[in-house]
Order: sequence, then structure tokens, then C-alpha cells
Amino acid sequence: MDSTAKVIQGLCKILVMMVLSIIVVSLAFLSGFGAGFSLAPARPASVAAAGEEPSEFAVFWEAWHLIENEFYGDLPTMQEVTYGAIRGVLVSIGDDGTSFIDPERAAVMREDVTGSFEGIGAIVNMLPNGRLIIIEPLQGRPAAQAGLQQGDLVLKVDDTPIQNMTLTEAVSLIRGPAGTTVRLTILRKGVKEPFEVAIVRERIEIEVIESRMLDDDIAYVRLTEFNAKATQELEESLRELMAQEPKGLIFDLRSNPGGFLQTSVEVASQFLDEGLVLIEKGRDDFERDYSVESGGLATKVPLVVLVNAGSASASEIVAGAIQDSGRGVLIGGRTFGKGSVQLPHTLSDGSELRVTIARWFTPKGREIQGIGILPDIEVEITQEDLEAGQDPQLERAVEYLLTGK
Amino acid sequence: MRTLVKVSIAVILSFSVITGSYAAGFGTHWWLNKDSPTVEEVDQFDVFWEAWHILERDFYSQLPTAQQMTYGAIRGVLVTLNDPYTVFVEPKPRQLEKDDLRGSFGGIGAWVTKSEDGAIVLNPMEDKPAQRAGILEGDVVIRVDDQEITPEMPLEDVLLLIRGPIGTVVKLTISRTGSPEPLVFEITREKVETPTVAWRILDESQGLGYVSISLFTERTAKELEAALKDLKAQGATRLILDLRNNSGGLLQTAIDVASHFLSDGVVLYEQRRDQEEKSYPVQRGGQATDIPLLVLVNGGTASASEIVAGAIQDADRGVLIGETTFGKGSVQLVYDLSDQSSLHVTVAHWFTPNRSQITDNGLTPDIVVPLTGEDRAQGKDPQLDRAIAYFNTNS
Repeated sequence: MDSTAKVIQGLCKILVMMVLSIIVVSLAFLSGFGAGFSLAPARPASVAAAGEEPSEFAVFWEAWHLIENEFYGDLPTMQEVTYGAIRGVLVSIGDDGTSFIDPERAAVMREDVTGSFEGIGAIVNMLPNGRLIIIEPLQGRPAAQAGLQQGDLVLKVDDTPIQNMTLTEAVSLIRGPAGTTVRLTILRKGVKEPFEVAIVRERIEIEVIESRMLDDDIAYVRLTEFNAKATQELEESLRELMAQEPKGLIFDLRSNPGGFLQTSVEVASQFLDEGLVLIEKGRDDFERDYSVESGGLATKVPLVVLVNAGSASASEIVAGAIQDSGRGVLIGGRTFGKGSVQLPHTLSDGSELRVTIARWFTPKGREIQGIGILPDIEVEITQEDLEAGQDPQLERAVEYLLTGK
Repeated sequence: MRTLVKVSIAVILSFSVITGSYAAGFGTHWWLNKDSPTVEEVDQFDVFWEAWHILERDFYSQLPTAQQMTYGAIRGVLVTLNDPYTVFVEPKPRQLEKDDLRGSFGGIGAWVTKSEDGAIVLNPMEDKPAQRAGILEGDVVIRVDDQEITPEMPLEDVLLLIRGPIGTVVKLTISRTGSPEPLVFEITREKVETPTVAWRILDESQGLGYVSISLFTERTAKELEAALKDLKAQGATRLILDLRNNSGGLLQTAIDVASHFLSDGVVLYEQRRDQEEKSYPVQRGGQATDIPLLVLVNGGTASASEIVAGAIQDADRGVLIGETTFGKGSVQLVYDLSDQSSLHVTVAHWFTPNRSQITDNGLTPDIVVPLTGEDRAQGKDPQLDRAIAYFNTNS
């Protein structure tokens, strides 16, 4: 049990390593494949073209010319003025998901999307004390080959100290193009001085599904991403697991950052007989219901869904649908709270504008955006648990399925 | 006197202000008609309109009004200047700010507050129109003229509805505890003044006078003159000037106030962009140019207050007691834009007569005396006590 828990705990952190890039990917997917386009009918813009600015806007140029002529201090460039004005408009709109990214950063993020899976093949997490910990070096991958061990603390990446960085910042330093070398300064229990390890990055493929039978006839299946293969692989795993007539099923959506909207409907439909999966609300009172598709493979078996703050977007749709229908019990921590759909636009100078075109609600009409889904049973994972490779959330799920409470 | 000159569609009456929130002023500013963008600007600004159109077409929910989005754009540009004092003020707060700096407005003479549940509650001032019309403390305003008051309405909106030109009538519909039906009052607005100077004799036997200034408005110099005359008439031979928590105000007022305490020299130097340094000399005829003087300052003493305290300190005219001042050494001009909003633009930095830059550092008092939260809770004022003791031991 303990070793199983450890492996699963390890696996559930794989995605953590990639959360940033995957969310970016999933946003792009979602906006393309969600009902986004149908929500954006070509409407006559009230402002046709440059040169026909709304009359309300005149005051902007008055203000800028005053600054230009009178301000005591360094003046921004016209590009900075333009970007500042766009950002200011977005502040006035006050929507979390609607954002502006300047050309430089937009380029880096596009690279990220294509190169995001190139790294050292280690599962990492950020401890509450601001230290980055190796949860598990994946077998046969560069980190393991270079001798990294579970519990190692990473102090520096190349020559940059990473203490108190966010997880995504630290991970973005460790990741990089396949074939390049990254130097990690490691602090290991039992070794007095920190030492340096050089690791050549390679492309890391992530298994989208991990499934197995745990002790006591409990089936476990983990989904790491709602990508194009997810539905098919989940169906295969569920067929295998259900054939063994388990007493209960644990569906692990922890640290799953989302993916395709349609996939979330298909995945939820594996566990639900009928009803809604989600409601999408767009502009002009647009509302669209997404219903459960028939033919689910695990609609009767007692069900626990594991979630945490890394469960975002499509994960929250599935968790919300299961919770609202009473079909299963959610265990873990409150989910991320990403319930809106963005459509990314590349502007003429290479900058990017992401516009929220719709929001998602659970079947009972609960908003996901900014709120997340609160599990029925909250179970924390502490720093000590992480260091010891323990997974109290999974243990609680097993206990629930065995005892019914 | 301030002269107002209006030029073209755009703007501009301006005056400089110096405060934490506003700052200091004078002067007349010709403003060329430059409210349309130049060709180059239109070109480089294209991306803005791309973004704007995309938002109009695709954003999932109601967008703010074009005016609110424009204001957002202006604020976004100001962020790029990295100057906390160059700020945009929307029309309504701008009107209240004007009232504040003028030191008077047309009103009914009542304190207006918003309770926790959003009710607008009146508390009439002694012998002012509201009280004379029969308004009682605790009356709740439910309608002003024909405008219903909702809990969502910001207090400043309600204030602006109640205020208006002197001599005009405002109709208030009031809900009063114990009165089943709403009551209607018609009240003629009068000039309501907001005094900024308070004074008293602290110790008659010592001839110790005290005067505090809370803000540098248009009325402050006159108020101060009357206060100083009265203190002298009451036998004051020593004076404590309290500038604590005075966030500043009009620059011209700061010069007038400083000139009451100085007989000659310079109040401040001002450096504008691409211009020669300008000095503002002391104006002759001050009321208190040789009376022994102490000045109380603290971290809330900012801007115009720092000009006065700095000029007194540099001239060795008086001793500063208290805590290090706020440290705001820039001057803003306030420009009214065509839609009644306004822009406060940092146009200059100023220096004390010894040419200290006070931005960031503030003024260090000659005698540092802290005032703790504990002191405040116990109603103690060790800074004032120290000033009184200073006079007692140094006379």
C-alpha cells in the first residue's frame, strides 16, 4: 500500500512540472474547440476604423498631450503608451482571463507551447518553505541517469538561486530545449555540502493515463491531461479495471490542468448516466447546455474523485458534474477556479490579446471561475507528507470506499 | 489672483497643487489645440484599436462604457510614467476636490455619511440651512430632488446632488425614525465654508499661542491672518504652528502661509522641465515674522506643508519638533479636460531655500519626538508637550 501510494503520489506530481505550459496549451485548445466561435458572431463594431475614434476618446489625447508637453520626468515611448492604454482598458473591464501579452513575451510563450515537454524527467514540487524538492526522478530519464534522488533539494539552476521562486518560475528555468545542459545545485540529506549535477535535457513523454488495482479491490485511474488521446485511453483502462469488479473506483484529477472541452464531456460521461455536464454562458444571454453522452463504463461503481489546487478547467468541469449529480465524493483540496474560455488573438505587431468569450457553470449553475470546486472531504498534504512520500488524500479515498464514510 | 484662460476645445484652466493627493498652484496655462493625435501617433496606436475592436466583438459579457474604457486607457498610460502623483481624476471626484481646495461650496450645512447598510445619514450643523429647515440628526435621505438614492450609489454622487449653486433650492425626501411617512424638505443652499485653521491660547501666563492648519485651500491664508491677529490681541508672545497630518494643497497658499512667518528670503525654488530654476520670494507684510516659533511636523506633513516647514527651518526662523515628514517634493498642475475630468501632472520639483530635495527623505525635525499608538490611545501628545517644554526652558 505504501509503495503504491508513493508511486501514485509521484505520478500525480508529474504534471506539476508542466502546469504552466499545459494551461497555455489548454487555453488555446479550448478556445478553438469550445463553443467559442459560435459565440462570436460578426457584429458591426461601433467603432469602425482608426480615424473614427469614439467621441468619448478625445479626452485620451488631451491627457496624453498634456503629459507629453508638461510632465517632469522621462516620457514613455509611443509603444509603451499604446500597451499601457490597452492594459488600462483591460483593468477597466476587470476580467481575470482577458489579458494582453507584449510581443516579446508572446514569442517566448509560443516557444513554450511547442517546447514545453523538454526537460530532465523529474517530478518536482515546491515545499511551503520555498525549497524545490525532487519528488521522483523518472526511471531511465536524464535526472535519474544523472543520479538525482527522491528528496533532493534543488538550490540553484545554473547559477540562479531558486529559493522562494514560484514553482512555475523554477520549472521554467529547469526546462529547456532537448540536447542542452542544465546544472542543478543539489542539497541531499546526509551530504554536508551542496553539490552540482549537470543534466542533458531530453523530450519527455507524459502518460496521459495511469491505472492499477490497489489493495482491497479498489481500482485507481489517474488522468493527467484532457488531450486528444484521453477519452480512448480512459475507456481502455476502465474496461480493464471494471472487468475485475472493484469495490470502488478512485478517479484522480489532481494537478490536471485541463484540455479540450469536448474531452471533459466525454470523460464525465464515463461516470454519469444522464443529466448535464456543464452550462456555458456567453455574451448576449447566450447559454449552451452540454449533456452527458450515453454508454459510460463506470456509472454505478462507488466513486471518489481526487482533486487539488492544480485541478483546473476541464478537470473542474468533470469534478463539478460528478459532485452536483451526487454520483461520487470529491476528496482533496479546493480546485483552481478556472472556468472561463479565452480566445487568443495575435495583433498586428505580434502582441497577443486573450479575450474571455464564455464562462462555465456546473449543472446546478455554480460558477467555477475564481471560485473553484470545494471537495466534500478536505484533506491536506503537508510538507512532511511530501518529504516522506505519503499521500493522505489517496489514503482517505481508500478509507472512504472501504467504510462508506 | 488666478486668471483663468480657456483655449480651444481642449482645456485648460490649471493651477498647481502640492499634496499627497492634490498639489500646488498658480498660474495660467495656455494650451495649444492638440487634442487630436498626430499622424505618427495614429500609426503607432493602431494596435490599441485592434484590441478595442476585438473586445467589442468577442468579450463574453457587458463591456464598460466607452467613457470608462477611455478612462482606463488614460490610467494605463499614467502607470507607465512611474509617478504616483500624476493622476487622473474623474469628473465627480474632481468637483468635490475643487470644493475642497476652494474651502467653500454651496450646500445645506450638514455632515453627510454613509452607514454600513448604505443609508445616507444627515447630521445638521448649527444654524445652517439644513437645521433651520428642520433636518434632525439621523435623518436618512431617500431622494434628492427627483433622484432616488440607492445603497449602491457612491457617497460622492449623493454629495454632488445635494451640493449646488448658492441660492438654489434642493428638495430632500427624508425617512425619519418614528415617522411613518417620508418627509419632504425644501432647503436653499448657502455658502458652506470648511475652515482649515484652528487656534487658541494654550497658556495665558506664558503668552503661548497655538495655531494648526489642516489643508492649504484658497481660504487658508486669510483664515491664518485672522487667527494670528486674534492670538496677538489675546497676548500671545510665542507661537506653536501645528502642521501635523496636513497633506498640502495649493502652492500659492503655501507661499502666503510661509510669508506670514518670514520677513525676507525665499520660500522655495522650483525646477521645471527645460526651464531655468524659478524662485518664489517671501511676500512682505507677514503677521508673525518675529514671534518665537516652533513647528510641529510628522509623517503626514506633506507637500505644501513641507514647503512651509522647510522654509522656516532653512531660515532658522523656528525649530521643527516631531517626526520626519512625508517627503513629497514635486509640483502638480491640475488640468481640467474637456469632459470635466482632470489630470494632475507632475510638472516640477521644488527645493527648500537651502536647496534640499525633500522627495524620498522628507524633512528631519530639529528635535525628534515620536508619537506612539499608545500615546494616541491615551489621548497624550508628547510632541506638543515637548514644544511647550521647549519654550519653558529656552526663554
